[in-house]
Formats: sequence, structure tokens, C-alpha cells
Amino acid sequence: MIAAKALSDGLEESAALNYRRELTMKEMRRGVLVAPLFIYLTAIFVVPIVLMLIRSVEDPEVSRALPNTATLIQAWDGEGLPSAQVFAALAADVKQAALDRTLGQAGNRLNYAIPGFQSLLMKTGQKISDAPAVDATDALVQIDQRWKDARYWLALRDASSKYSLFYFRTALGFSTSEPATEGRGLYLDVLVRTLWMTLVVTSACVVLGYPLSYFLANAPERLRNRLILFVLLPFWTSLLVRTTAWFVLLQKHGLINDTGMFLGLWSQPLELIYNRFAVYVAMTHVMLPFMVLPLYSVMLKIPKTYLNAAATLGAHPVRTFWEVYLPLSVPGLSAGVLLVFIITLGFYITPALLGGPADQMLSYYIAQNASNFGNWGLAAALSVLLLAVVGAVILLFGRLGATATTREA
Amino acid sequence: MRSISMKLYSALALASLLAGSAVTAKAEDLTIATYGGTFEEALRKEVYEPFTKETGINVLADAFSGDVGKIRAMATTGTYNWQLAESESVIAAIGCQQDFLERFDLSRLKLTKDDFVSGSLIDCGIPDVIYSVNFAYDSNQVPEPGPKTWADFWNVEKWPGKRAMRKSPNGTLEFALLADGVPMDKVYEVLATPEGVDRAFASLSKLKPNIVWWETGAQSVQLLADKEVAMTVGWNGRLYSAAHGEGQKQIKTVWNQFRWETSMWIMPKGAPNVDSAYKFLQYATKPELISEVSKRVANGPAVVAAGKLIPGELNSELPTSAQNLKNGFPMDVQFWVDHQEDLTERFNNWVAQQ
Repeated sequence: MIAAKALSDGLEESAALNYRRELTMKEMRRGVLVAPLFIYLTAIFVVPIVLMLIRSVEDPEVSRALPNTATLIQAWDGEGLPSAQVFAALAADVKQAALDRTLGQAGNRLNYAIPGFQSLLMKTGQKISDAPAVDATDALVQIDQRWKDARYWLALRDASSKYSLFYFRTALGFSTSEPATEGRGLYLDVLVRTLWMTLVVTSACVVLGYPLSYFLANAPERLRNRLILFVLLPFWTSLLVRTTAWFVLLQKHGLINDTGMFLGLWSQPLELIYNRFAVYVAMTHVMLPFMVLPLYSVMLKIPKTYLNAAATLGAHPVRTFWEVYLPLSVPGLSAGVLLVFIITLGFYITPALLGGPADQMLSYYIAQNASNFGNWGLAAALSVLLLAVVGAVILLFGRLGATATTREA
Repeated sequence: MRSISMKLYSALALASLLAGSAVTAKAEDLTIATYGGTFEEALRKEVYEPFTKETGINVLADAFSGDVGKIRAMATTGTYNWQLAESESVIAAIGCQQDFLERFDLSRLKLTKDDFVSGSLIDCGIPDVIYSVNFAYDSNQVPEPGPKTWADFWNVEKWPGKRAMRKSPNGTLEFALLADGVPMDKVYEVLATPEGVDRAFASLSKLKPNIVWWETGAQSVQLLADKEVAMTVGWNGRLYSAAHGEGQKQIKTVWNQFRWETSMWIMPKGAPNVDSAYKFLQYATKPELISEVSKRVANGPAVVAAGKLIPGELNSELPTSAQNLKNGFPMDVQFWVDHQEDLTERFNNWVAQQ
């Protein structure tokens, strides 16, 4: 009896073992199948993002070009001027860096903190070799009076460590070495503007897309299949083409203005382009399919019988919609909102072509810093900011979705 | 299974066929980036084509957008989209200071400093032409006598209509100060002080409701030709070719209080084909060729010997002619090396305020 039990246990065990082994094999096979995708994603998605994150906190130029100064100045308490030892180290470092041609890179970084620091450093580099080697402090001050100004030394100390939050401080509009000027806080305004514009476009897509999806989902099948093409065709058309099409329509002597003036509706061309209006119109047009398609597919699956049931039970059509139809369409709505919101946050080309200077979104400034100025640190910090906002939105949506589901349950 | 591999083979065969038929680029070929437009056309006709004919080195064209970040990326990663570019002097100066541009060896060009217009040559830039930023107006839209100064440009009561300006502080703030009464030789001195910058922005704010901003040179003349604006700030070469286009006689360029600067050839540090590049530069600095380019685009040649080859009637359209030069002022390159970024940041912020 006992032996039989043991045998069956043993059998069961080996069966379980076999089964487990099989599972592992299956998982491994599955792993092999997704491996190309995994490698691809790591190479083109994860690695660049991590590099970008690192770039936003890297600050190596000054410590590389002026190593001794960078080490010594960290001990300075920021009161008055640094010691003669620091002056001497700077004079020697600048002389060497001018020879190595690394001085310009340090100057470039310091110029972000105080405009004009670049030429101060270059000028010092040119003249320091001719200066008498007696007293470095006197020599530097003689080359330029600005070396007596503690602001420059504070900026130097601020830039002396290999990693810093300098670019984030610039992105968020507070800087330690520079007194507040009008140019500060630009990017914070831009971030707020970006969020606001995204919100407006998303809302417009909901207002326009929801009734449209409802109409499509409830149309007779043949008509529906034809109409959905009108949603898909623009969806398949390049973003650039659609944006340029709006350009043609909205410009001063474009189709809309010329027609309106021809019909005598208005006598002067309306300002339809290079403003927020044009950007909203075009972005809503571009994003509408992203709202309609998920909504439509969810609405198609809502059984009509539910609505009939609600009606038979005496519910008013408004109540039927509010309590039956809307909750059932929420998955499509939230998918659409999330898609539209996240894609719109990163919009670049449409505002750049159709908007005025006050209508540019954060990505415009990221591109400007990365390619026009070559300020990669700031571009990276701004990108991280945008990434953080996207992450926060997804998290928020996850929360909302979770509470919605529990409430329904 | 067989059909799949068949398809695969035929696809591979097709791909190799296509690759074989593509134009084969030779190792010594040059890729040269420019801002495009009429300038590139002139270079192709007057320099690239005779150069290729004589040396057998093909010249491929690329677009240059003046992006410092892109050039630095080329030098740091060692992947070069082009070997030479025709660039603004500020970029050449920045690139030299930050060490991402090649320093040229003049002796390889068999030239000396004195072969170029005084003060135009720098370590990392071989000057080709001198151009200017002027304003032009549409004489059909504004009453004659037309505007003559920046104060007139600012005067929308007397000369109504929108103004097009470059969406950049560079070549905008200077004019704002001139409009506010600062003399030409004091502009950069004033602009170097915080009060001067405030003054420039205050002056610009007065005109702001009437400004349409442009970002590419093509837009500047397009806006004027489309009558979107009555006046525009623009590069003299662009304005010249626009005014000489068909039916555009009404475009009048003002040769007073203009800013002139040098454009130059630059090479990213470590670029391949240095020999070809030097051969090209030798060619591109020949007086008889650069004077032809100058004639086509109405820029003054930066090579001294080429100046004598410019016909008299064109001189009134060039920033370098004796009659015009005294009415303009040179751009302060070092000022913009120092202040391009902070003033752009402030400018963007100011532009964005409604």
C-alpha cells in the first residue's frame, strides 16, 4: 500500500518534473522568438535613453580642461575671492589648456553660466604666456578686471565637478551664478505651454472624435466600411504632407482666404496661419484618427441589446447613455486619450511650420539646443523633463484606470 | 519552404543588381554643404563644374544649416556628412575656439593673409565672399520717397505695412539699436552692456505687432514677393536676385546702415579627403572664379585680386564697393560668439510673449 503510494508519488513527481522542464523549454523557445525584438529595443531605445539620462547630468568640460583649478576651487567657501593658490592654478591650467586647445570647450561650458565667460577665458589664454610669472593674481587681474569679480569664480566652482545638476537648473529656470534676468524661466513656461496645448488638442479630439465614432459604429455595415476609409486615409498619409496641406489652405493668400475674399465674406485676408489657431486645427486633424480608431473598435463591440434593455426598463436616452453606453466605451476613450496625449506632447513639425514663435512646444527647444547650439547637456535635461512628464501621465492614467475598474467591480 | 528561399534569393539578386547600378562614389570625391539657393547654383556653375572637369574629383552637394551641434557631432564621432561647408564667420570662430574645426594651412593654398580682404581671414575659415544684411521694401506698397534708415523701417505710420525680420537676435538687435538712435560704430559697445540689451529689446517691442518672423533666406524674399509684408530684412544676395526676378522691379534694397560680414569655407576636424579639400580651396580662391560667383550672387569677393574683376555697374549692389562700404558696419564676430546663446534664449522668451 505504502509502496504503491510511494510509487505513485514518485511518478507524479517525475511527471511534474517533466512538465516543469517542458515549461522551461517552452519559455526558452519563446525567449528565442522575442530575442531579436529585445535586442533591437535595447539597441535603439534603451541604450540611447540611458545615454541621454547620463548626458543630462554630465558636466566634464571644466574639470578636464582645468584639472588643478577644478580640484582646488572646491575647497573655496565662496566668500570674497579664492586664495592666491587657486589663481596660480588657474593661470597654469589656462596656459596648458590653450596649448592643448581644450580651453574653448571649458569656455563654452562657462559661457552657459555667464555670457561672455568664453571670450574672457580665450583672452586670458592668449595673454597669459606673455604675463610675468611673478604673481598669478596680479597677472590675471591685469589681463582682465573681471577676474576680480566673484561671480566668475562662483561659476567656475559650480562647473568644477564631473557631474552636476547644472543643466536641470537651467532647464527649470534657476541658476546659482547668474542673477535673475528676463531670459530665465523660459523652459518652464514652454513646458506649461506644451502641456496646455496637448490638453486642448486632446479635448478637441474627444469632442470631435466621440460622436464621429458613435456614428460610425452604429451606421449600416456597408456605409460604415466606406466611411472608415475616410478616417484611415489621412491616418496613412504622411504627417508632413498633412501639415503642408494646412499650410496651403491657411496661408494669407491660401485657399480659404482667397475663397472668402472672392465671395465677399471678408475684405482683408484673415490671420489664419503662424498662430495658435492654425496649430490647434492641424494638430487636431493629425491626431483625430488616434482617437477615433480605438473608440470605434470598442463601440462596435457594445451590444445594442444593453441599450434596449435600459430603454425597456424606462431609462431616458440621456440616462441610458450616461449609465450604460459611456462606461462601456471608457476603455476605448481612455486608450484614445492616452495615445493622443502622449503623441501630442512630443509634437515638433506641425507647430514649427504653422505656429508663431509663441506656439512652439518643448521639442522645438530640444532640437534647437541639440543641433543649433550644440548644447547637448541642456537638450538632454529638457528631454528628461519631457520623458518625466510622459511617465507621470502614464502613471496617472494607470491609477485612474485601476480605480475605475475597482469601482465597476 | 522552397518557395520562400526562392523568393529570398531573387530578392537578394535584385538588391545586388540595384547596388551595382548605383553611381559609384570615388574615395577622393568631395561633399560640400552650403545654405543652398542662388549661391549654391553659382558655386556649381562657376567653381564645382570647372573643378570636376579639371581634376576629375566629383563634388556632391549637401545642405548646411549652420548647426554647431551637428558639426561638433561629426568631429567627435568621426562620421562626416561633408568635408567642406560654406559657413557664417561666427560658426567658424566658435568651431576654432572649441576645436571642432580644422585649422587651415595657408601655404598649401599658396596664399598669404594679404590675399584676402583685411581682417576677414581666420585660422579655421578661408573667406570667399562678403555679404550684408540690409532691408528692402516693396515700392508698390509703401509711398515714395521710400524708407532710408532703420528709424524709417520702424516708422509704420509713414510707411504702413508688416515688416519681416529674421527670427534671431543676430542681425536684429543691432538694427533695433540703430532705430533707437545709436550710431553704427557704437552698436556693439552698447549691446555689450545689460542696459544696452534692454534698450534693444525695448526698441524691438515697439515694432513687434508689425513683425513677421522668417527663418530661412528663401522665406524673407517670398514674404515680400507675396505681399505678406511691405518691407523685409534680408541677405543682400537674396534681395538682389529677388529684385531681378521677373516682374519684381518694385523690390528696392536700401544701402544704408547695413551690416556686412564674411562667409568662409570650413572643414570639420579630422575630415577625410584633406587633399581633395585643399585642391578645391585652391580652386575656389582663384580671383577669376570667385569674381564670377560674386557677380552671380551680388556678394563682394573676399579675395582682393577678384575685386578688380567686378564690373562698375554691379558695384552699387555690393557691400564692398567704395560707395556702399562707408554706409555699413561690420558684424562683431566675437560678440556673437559670446552672446549667441544667451541673447537667443532671451530673444525666444521675448518673442513668445504676446
